[in-house]
Amino acid sequence: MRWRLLAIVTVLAVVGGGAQRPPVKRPDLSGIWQALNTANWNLEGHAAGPGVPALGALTATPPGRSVVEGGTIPYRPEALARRRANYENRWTADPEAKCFYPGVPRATYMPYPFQIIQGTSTVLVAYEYASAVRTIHLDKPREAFAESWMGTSFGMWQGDTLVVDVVGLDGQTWFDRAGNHHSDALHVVERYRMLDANTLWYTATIEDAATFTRPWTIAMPLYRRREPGAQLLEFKCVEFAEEMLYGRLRKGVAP
Amino acid sequence: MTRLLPSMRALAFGCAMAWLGTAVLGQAAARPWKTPRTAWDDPDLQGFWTNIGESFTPLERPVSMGTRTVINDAEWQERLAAYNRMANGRSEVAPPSRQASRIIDPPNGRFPPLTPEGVRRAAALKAAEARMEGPEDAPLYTRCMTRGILTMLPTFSNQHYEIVQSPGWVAILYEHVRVVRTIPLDGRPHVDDAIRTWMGDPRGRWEGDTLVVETTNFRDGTLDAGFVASDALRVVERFRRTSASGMEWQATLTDPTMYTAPVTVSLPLTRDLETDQILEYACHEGNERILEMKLSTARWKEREAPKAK
Repeated sequence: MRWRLLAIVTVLAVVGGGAQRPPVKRPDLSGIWQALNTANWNLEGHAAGPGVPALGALTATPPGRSVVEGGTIPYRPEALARRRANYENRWTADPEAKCFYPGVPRATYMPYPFQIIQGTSTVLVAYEYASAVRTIHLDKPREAFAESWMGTSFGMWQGDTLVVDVVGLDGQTWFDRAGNHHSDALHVVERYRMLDANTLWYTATIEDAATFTRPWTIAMPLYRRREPGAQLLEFKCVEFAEEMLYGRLRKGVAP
Repeated sequence: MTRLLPSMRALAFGCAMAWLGTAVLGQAAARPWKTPRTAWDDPDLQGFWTNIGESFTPLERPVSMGTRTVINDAEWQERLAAYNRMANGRSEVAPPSRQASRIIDPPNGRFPPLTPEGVRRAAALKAAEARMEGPEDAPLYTRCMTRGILTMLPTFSNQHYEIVQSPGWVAILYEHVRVVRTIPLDGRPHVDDAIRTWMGDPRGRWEGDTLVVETTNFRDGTLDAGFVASDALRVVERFRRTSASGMEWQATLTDPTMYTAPVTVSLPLTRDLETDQILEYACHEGNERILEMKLSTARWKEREAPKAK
């Protein structure tokens, strides 16, 4: 009896030890990254365009090619009409104007840096704009606890690509300043892959049957910010939106 | 099936012995407890933390307690009862400490006196809030800007924190008013003096197993929890794991423009067993009615005041 027990304990020890394979070496996505394109002005291809006339050329739209695979976003007709209305009202209706959280994927390609901190069981992504932030959970699939601006993210490695499933996104964010939009049926699957030590290839597939006739994908490189001492600075834009949001109630203005 | 049973028993016994062995060995290794290390050999502070247990630890110590730093059994039972009334059963997750106050220095556990300039600035902020001529007159917290570094002090809600590390960096995510700090550990100098921020510019380093974070470059009027800061503020924080489930946080705030002496606050953090995700605290996105109400009330008072005369 005793030798059997000893044998079993030994077997358990060997099996247990064997199970501890060396950890798979994953690419380290940590760093400060930034898109270098005009997707935040318009995901689709666009010529240069005017801004607020009183501000001269300062707020003009820079031109850019489409980041959408196939060129255009497959809107349902009524959703396309809403985009036109959004565009007309963009100077006040764009959530970016109000300094609201940008949502996913817009946070990625705003013209500001963001930082990936790849921890042991979570990947933290901190964005300079509005101090937005999200945690990508690697440990187990997630269901959204509630709808939120930045969504609930669950990531898993497929080879060298970090695939992130983003659920629980609300319907209030826009994709860009041109009024491209979605509903709360939005589901985003992002892919992050290192092209080389200083470049990430980023894609986001967008599913929202209420707004689009089929899923569609955006793709772009993200570049590492390589200047010495690169770091995120604080861009809490709340205070810059307050006059627009509350100025009518200011002393001397309000009746 | 019956033939399997003895071996299954043996297996169970073997497992039990193995567990006992690990437990005993673990105990031996646990004295003194050693901070685990990351794959790149930094002390590992990662995971979810809370200080919900300290909800009823007062910021300032009652004057009657003098320099007594811990509360007695009866006082602790009272604290525990209050805590359980707020969140029944939570005391098992994060029991309250016996710390008499969140301020541990000055020795009386109270804010040091303001300087004359401090008195003037604190009064100016209060007066602005009373006038509410525009949104900028509201306190930072009301404007959903930030609670600053003192977001680590509990306020009865959203007391959840996540720490994530990668080589050369520590990030701290605070659920309340959603703040994230990414802290470089490479000894780089602070950013230009002209760059002033509400959360300041943090620089971290390891002193043994303690993470020391020095933060400067604050804007005037940062912070809450009764502390009003000038741009002269300098904060030194220490994060040190004390056990598998415990961490100590301490912050010394030095602001010679506002206060006649430095202030140190300290609180224990415990492993957050209730959550494994930091929820989104979209404060500004839902704040419109609050600020509208404050501003409209101020305008109404201005209209009504002459009529009352």
